[in-house]
Amino acid sequence: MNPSSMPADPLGIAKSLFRLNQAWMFDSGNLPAMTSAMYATIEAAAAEQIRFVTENKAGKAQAEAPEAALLEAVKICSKLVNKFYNAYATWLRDYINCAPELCQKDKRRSLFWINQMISAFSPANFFWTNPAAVQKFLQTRGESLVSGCENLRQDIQRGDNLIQIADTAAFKVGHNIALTPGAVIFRNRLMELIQYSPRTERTYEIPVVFVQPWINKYYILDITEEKSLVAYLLNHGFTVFAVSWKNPSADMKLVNFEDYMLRGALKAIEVASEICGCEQVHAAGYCIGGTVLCALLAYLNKGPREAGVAIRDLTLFATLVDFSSPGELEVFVTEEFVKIIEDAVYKEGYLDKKFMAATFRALRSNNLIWRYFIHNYLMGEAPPKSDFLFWNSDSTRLPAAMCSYYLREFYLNNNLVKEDRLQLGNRPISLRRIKEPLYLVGTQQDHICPWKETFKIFDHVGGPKRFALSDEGHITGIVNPPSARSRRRHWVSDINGLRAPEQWLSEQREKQGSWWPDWVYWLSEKSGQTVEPPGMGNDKYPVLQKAPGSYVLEQ
Amino acid sequence: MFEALETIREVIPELFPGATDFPVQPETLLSDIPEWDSMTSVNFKVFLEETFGVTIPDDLLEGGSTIGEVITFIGRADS
Repeated sequence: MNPSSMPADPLGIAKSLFRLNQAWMFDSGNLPAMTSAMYATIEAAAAEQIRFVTENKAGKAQAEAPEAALLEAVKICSKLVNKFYNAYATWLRDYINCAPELCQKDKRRSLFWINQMISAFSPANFFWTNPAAVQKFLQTRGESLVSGCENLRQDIQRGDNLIQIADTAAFKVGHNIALTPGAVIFRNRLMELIQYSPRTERTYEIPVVFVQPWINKYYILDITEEKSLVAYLLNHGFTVFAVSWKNPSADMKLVNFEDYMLRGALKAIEVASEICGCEQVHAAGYCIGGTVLCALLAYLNKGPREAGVAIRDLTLFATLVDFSSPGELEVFVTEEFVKIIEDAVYKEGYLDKKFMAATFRALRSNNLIWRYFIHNYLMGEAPPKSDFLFWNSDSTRLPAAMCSYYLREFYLNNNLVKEDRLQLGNRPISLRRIKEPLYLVGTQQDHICPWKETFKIFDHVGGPKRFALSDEGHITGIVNPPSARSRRRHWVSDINGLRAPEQWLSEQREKQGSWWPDWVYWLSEKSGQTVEPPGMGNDKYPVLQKAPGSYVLEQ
Repeated sequence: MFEALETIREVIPELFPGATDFPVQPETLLSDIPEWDSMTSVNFKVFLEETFGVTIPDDLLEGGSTIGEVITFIGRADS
């Protein structure tokens, strides 16, 4: 990419901030009062600290316990700096949030980019204004910074411009993560299909097929036995399959969204049906996996009547079909920036996984960037052994054609919800053709697929609908195993008639614990008889390899 | 318990940047901490495990738990 050929301000940062300033110029409103309040806060903080310093017997303390005196001085300075920082940060955020006559989109964009700056300049990110880092330095006689520098060196050497957020040596897929026994019973260029070993003497006729997202690896629903939705279903008598996507290489440049739909999702469903000897499956999709399933179901319902529809019912976890307000990723979606990405991906053949990782980390920069800057570099700690963070950093590439299509047709143009606008598999796609039962799970704190936006699917599909709203976010709202101690909450009901999501929520009674039992009950009502479990694979689709397979290990 | 509470009080503003002046008491719900979400809970879990040398179960760090319950667990696991 030639920097001189890039359009100016492709992310619209300057544009949003310019409109923000213009809004205040036309109506200063309470800006003077806000600014006065900020200065008053700063003055009060400074006065408090100056009073402390003038009254403190710093000289005597320094002589008797120099390290303690140093640490105390650092704490005093840090406290003052933090008060200044918080005053400035609050003012900046108010400057955006209180701006008169500024559209919500510009507010959101301005806030996002200002928050990136605010997070970066936090006093905690600087050694001398981070008392914990100074204390660690003193306790370890400086070794903490030596370790921190070594961590920095390793991150630079790795070359992905990312801070390591998980101890990647502590986990190995198939050894202490993604352990539910099973086998790869189908493999093509795009995916491996895993069939899990049954755990009950009899299983429901109709299997569950998970179409996993292909951003990050498939095993989020099978991280450990305790947290595994796969294991939960197996324990409740279901036959379970999961799609494990290939991490695309440059020779997969032209693999498109249609390929994921037909050669991925549909093929998985066909293979699972054949092995189980049934005509239909329960199809469950997570995030983009759910989006492709919606497109697939619309495609199947446009097919010849005699072909039937291989999907009995559809479950969607944290899935968008309407991308008109797609959460915080919206800040990256401009025509100019999509063009830059397209130029880059068609040269390389894919969207590099480090770009995906950096993008998602920017959405939670405090937690996924600066927290680890402090932890790894200033404190010299090793990246933590966290299975969730390991999965979070086990990222994937996206093929160029699929990436371009997804960004343009969904995020930029929102064409999935426009009747017959998309053509996939030579058929026009309309969500209105979907009449199969739908179970949708949204999560309250989802910043990638906001739950109120996922709710919009109910404006399009027919058929019986049920919605479960889980607390927590995009991942832990879904990976939500029932437990006796759990304080988790959810709200769930059938959806009858059109209503706004807020109205729906106001009518619900909060329930304790996980939504998993409700979903399993919903599935079981539609699962036919219980039969002897199917064999692992069959003559046409023999066992190729033990789970978790090969594709998941490709970096 | 008091020491654990003080340790947690000191780290809260670091782990949750919006919680600089947030009062942390034993009865404080985790979900009431500003910017508490699934990712900050992971960071909190890592901090507790590294600081106190105990393994914290995931369901202890759900939003409905209190700081006091977390400290009680640490105390029991440590003894």
